[in-house]
Amino acid sequence: MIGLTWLVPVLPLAAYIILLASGRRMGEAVAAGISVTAVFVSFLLSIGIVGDVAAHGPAAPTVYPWLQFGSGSAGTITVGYQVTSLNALMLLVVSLVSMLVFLFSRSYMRGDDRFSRFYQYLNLFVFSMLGLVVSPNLLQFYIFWELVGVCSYLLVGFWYFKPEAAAAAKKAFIVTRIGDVGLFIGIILLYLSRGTFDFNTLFGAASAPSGMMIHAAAPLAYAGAKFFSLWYIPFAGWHAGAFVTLVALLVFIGAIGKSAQFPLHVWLPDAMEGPTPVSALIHAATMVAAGVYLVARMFPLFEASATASETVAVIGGFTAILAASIGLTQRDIKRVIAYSTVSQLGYMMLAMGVGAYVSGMFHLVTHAFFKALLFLAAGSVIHALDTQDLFEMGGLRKYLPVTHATFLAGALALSGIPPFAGFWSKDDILTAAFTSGHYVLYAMGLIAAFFTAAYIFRVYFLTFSGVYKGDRHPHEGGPAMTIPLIALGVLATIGGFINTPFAPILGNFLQDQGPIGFNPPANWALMAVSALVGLGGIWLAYTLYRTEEGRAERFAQRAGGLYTLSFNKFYVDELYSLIIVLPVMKIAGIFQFLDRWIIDGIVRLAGEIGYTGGVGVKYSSTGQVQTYGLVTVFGLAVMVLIVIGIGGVI
Amino acid sequence: MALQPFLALGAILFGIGLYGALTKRNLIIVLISVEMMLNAANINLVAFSHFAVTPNVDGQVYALFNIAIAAAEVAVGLAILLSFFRIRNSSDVRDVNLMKW
Amino acid sequence: MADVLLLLILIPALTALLIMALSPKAEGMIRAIGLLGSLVPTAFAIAAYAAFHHGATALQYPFSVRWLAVANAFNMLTLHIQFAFGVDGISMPLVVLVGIVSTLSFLRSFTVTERVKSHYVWMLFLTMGLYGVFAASDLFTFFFFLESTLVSSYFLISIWGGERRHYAATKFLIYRGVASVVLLAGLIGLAYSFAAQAQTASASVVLPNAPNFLTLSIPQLIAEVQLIQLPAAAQNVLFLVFLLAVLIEEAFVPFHTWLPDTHENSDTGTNMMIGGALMKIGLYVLLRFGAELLPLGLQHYATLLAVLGVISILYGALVAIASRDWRRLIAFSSISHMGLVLLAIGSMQAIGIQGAVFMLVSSGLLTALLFFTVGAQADRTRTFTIGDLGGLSKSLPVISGVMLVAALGSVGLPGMSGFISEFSLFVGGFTTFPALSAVGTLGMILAALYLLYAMQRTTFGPVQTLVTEMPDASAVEYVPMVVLVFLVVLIGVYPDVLGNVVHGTAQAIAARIGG
Repeated sequence: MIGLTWLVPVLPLAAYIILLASGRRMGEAVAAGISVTAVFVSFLLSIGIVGDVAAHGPAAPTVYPWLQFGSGSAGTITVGYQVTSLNALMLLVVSLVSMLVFLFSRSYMRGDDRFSRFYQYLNLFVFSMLGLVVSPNLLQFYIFWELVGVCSYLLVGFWYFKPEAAAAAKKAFIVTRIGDVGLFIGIILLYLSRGTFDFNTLFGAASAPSGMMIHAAAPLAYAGAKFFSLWYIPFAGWHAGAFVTLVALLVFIGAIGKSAQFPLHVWLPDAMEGPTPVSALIHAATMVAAGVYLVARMFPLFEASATASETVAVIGGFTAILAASIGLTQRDIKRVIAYSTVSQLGYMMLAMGVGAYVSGMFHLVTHAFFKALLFLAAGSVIHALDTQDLFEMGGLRKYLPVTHATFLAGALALSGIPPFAGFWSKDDILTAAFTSGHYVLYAMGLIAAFFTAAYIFRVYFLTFSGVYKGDRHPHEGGPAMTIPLIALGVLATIGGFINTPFAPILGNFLQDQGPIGFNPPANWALMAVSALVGLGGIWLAYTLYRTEEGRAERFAQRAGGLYTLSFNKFYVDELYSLIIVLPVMKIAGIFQFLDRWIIDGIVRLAGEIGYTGGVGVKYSSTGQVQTYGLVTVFGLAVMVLIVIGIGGVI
Repeated sequence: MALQPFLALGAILFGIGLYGALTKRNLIIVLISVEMMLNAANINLVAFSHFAVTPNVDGQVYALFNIAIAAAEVAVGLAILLSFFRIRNSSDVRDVNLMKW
Repeated sequence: MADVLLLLILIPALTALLIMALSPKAEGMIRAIGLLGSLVPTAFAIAAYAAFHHGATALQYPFSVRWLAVANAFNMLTLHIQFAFGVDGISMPLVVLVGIVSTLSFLRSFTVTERVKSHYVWMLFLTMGLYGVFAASDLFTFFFFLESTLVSSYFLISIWGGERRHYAATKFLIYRGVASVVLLAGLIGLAYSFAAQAQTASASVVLPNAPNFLTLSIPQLIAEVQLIQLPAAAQNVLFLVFLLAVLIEEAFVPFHTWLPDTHENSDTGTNMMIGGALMKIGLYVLLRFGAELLPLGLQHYATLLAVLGVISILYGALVAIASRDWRRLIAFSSISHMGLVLLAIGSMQAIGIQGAVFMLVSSGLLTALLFFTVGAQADRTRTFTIGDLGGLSKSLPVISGVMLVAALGSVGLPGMSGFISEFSLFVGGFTTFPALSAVGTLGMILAALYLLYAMQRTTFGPVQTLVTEMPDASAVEYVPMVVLVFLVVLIGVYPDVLGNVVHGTAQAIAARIGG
């Protein structure tokens, strides 16, 4: 099966090309059918690949020359594919979630003018995401990394006629672009110091992918500029560890942008302007997790620099608590879940930062299931009600039984209630933070977990319990919608058992070539604390929204400034527009002025001087031949006098 | 006879012509002055042709050329003057500014 | 096949003469013949590209004919002026670029209805000139064709341009005229310095072209530069002269103000020619004469190049953000992109020089595509002002889609030619100037900012234009869009299609400048 890995991304690409070529002529059923089939086959192949890797271990990368710019293999950039246990796992998760979302979209997007265009973009996205996953080298990784960003741009702006969607798409692209440039620089510096893009050779000998080691003392050929002292950054004189830290941080900036970590988290909530299946697939389960995947893929680099790892952990922990606290007060159902995504991605980063490689990946997997589920369930609600405002919902348990049941499973998983999937992975991360001695981060994670349970059950109670406040007749969206919900609901419920502390199947799978990072030991006390905190959050939501009318409002009033801060997302957007966007626009305006009136002004002034001078001199030409003659005679006389003075003609 | 008196005559004639051409306001007088300058040159040509180390007729031939050219020039000049006089009703050089600027 | 380069020059020139003989009323025939006159050389150029010998370092498809010999031009040496052509890995892609861009501009010129005959004649002469500039292997031939492009584009701008066309055309003529004069001084200085140096050195070194030391032939100069070097002082002076010419010619800050005015006031076909091909001459000159013949000069001024490059990157990008007219935006965007190339040439790395050629080709294709799509929408909406547009995706899905592809390509999206170019340029840049290059990467963010902002205003959002019902791309309009998108994606997906040709020459140059 590993030999067929290339087919996994190529199938959605083929579907993309077919849809692109046929344009709008293709019927909805055909377009959806082709796409779902393609991804389904990819999914089956992924299962086979995971089986292969579990049985025989990872395969060496298969590469083809792509661009030659120097001599020999050192001067050749290659592309290809590679399967390790990490890749295989991601292949499986991405193709599984994609398949379910594809199916869901069949119903959700029914009747849209550009139905086949929607599937076309989705296929391109899945191709890019799978291509990203199987990349054997950093450059190819970056190529697909950017491509998924573009697909996100296209899909967020899918309803381009909505000004908010257009603005959100642009914002998403530009904000992630800031991170991408950091990654771009990091890749180049890494290449210059190690002479390769390949993950395997980057971290050690190709023969021992398990021993992926980049020590602080690893040879760094990059000596910086050789010629000019003014622009010379003497990397050669740096402690090699400082250089590793710099590169690791640059790579992490890329992850911050893509995974919407603080301070670049602002794009993800706005990206909810896209169709809900897109939010489920791209902005919850797959693309935003690519940042975590990047850190996992570059794990040896982060391991080599304690500073970088600590930064990852702190940013992750801070993002987790920040986003969770914002999620408590939002009115838009999708935005709450979006902030939840940001917060959960923070958990994964936290795990990676404290060295808990398996825990982070485990949470990535379970999160993909339950967050895709929550988004799809929200999509089902939105589909039924045509509103996203939580306060216009209520009582939907009666009308949408399947959605209700699955949403509840997802909410319990997110809140970390045993035995749902999220419990195992989140607890793993918290245990890792605690046992590795990061007590502050542990506390932050715990508070965030409390908030998490509170905000998701706030959504649950506002949506499904009580009485319906609208005047429509909501109903389920048909089997294409309910089947994916049920499938994901099952996964969110039992998915955690792939890696319980008692049977670490996933851990063994990921570490088949030897241990990576730090595996937290099982700790009953911490498990109990996590579960209790989750229950506490649910209790808070229940008392505020279910016990007595208006209690939540009074609570909000008592919280005062805190509530306003949270409701306004801590004014981060406003702050950015004040300190970044506005100055850039102002500077651009100043430069524009400078260009028009100073630089071009000088140019036009030069022209004017020539013209004015000409006009001035013009008046000395009187047109009187006699004047000219007089001047001529006078000139002749002067010349004769000069000649006499010199004493001869030359 | 020596060369000098002829040269002196030519120089004086040329000076008078130059003065007239540059200062007189009447176009006809300007034209006449130009003729005087040409004739001053003619006198020099003829004088040199006679008093040269090896006297020959080259100078006289050139003088003849000059006379022919002067005649043509006067013809053209007078034609311009006439047509100018028709449109401006003046023969003052200061009024000849049709091509100014 | 050997004289293919001569054909590239002759066919457009002869076609132009043929069109001159036709009646101005026979517009259909003029258009057909004009298109043919640009299509046939393009086919030849592509064939030459396909048959290009990758490994060889010498100029390929050489052709030369002696035109004039001036005896005792310098130190008893005879000056041979010749018409000579030949291409290497740097000029071959640019020759093909000229072919493709010119053919597509001719297609676009189908929309010109005013003075069709002279339009096609000037377009053909411009095409000829551009082929000549990139194919020339003799300093005189090069300069001859450079001047011919100046004349033909002057008329194209001043007759078929927009509102302020005379202002723009005059500005264009003065700026590029000054650049040409400076360049001429540099070329003469180059030939004579080499002659003097060769004559002195011939006592100890056996030169291949002895005793014809005074030569204008580029291959001979390249052969000489591998054996003898001009004194450092002479190289520095000459390099500065060339640099000045290039800065004006390529519209680098602060000599750039003619370019936005030119683009704003030219018709779309002319803009495609200028933005797509003509604007590549300057950096080609820098690569050809600066990097190849004056290695010490380049080394000495490398930092200056990089600083100027970064200034142009940021300045162009910032002004583009504030631009209100699409054509000005594209102009400033191309200034910004060319700054990147300057930075990479300053880095003196093989990958940087290869990236420079990639960027020239890529930005040629993408600029042409941007101008084409922007022009196509303006045919319908009658405006280029970004603020007056909106919601074009609704009425013009195909044109807006291609416009988005072009914009994303310019932003440097992987999968398209812009990415691999930027990447190579920055790898080169970071090798030599890490700090400056890091500043330069800000240009990547700003590029996303101004292009996506303009796209958001133009194609997304609610419909703003007065005309709401518009026909989408016609069959004739599909051709340029499909061809350009195909090439941009081809280079992006399989860059070796270009890399194979450029690679050898870039290596050879980098080896000489110590990269």
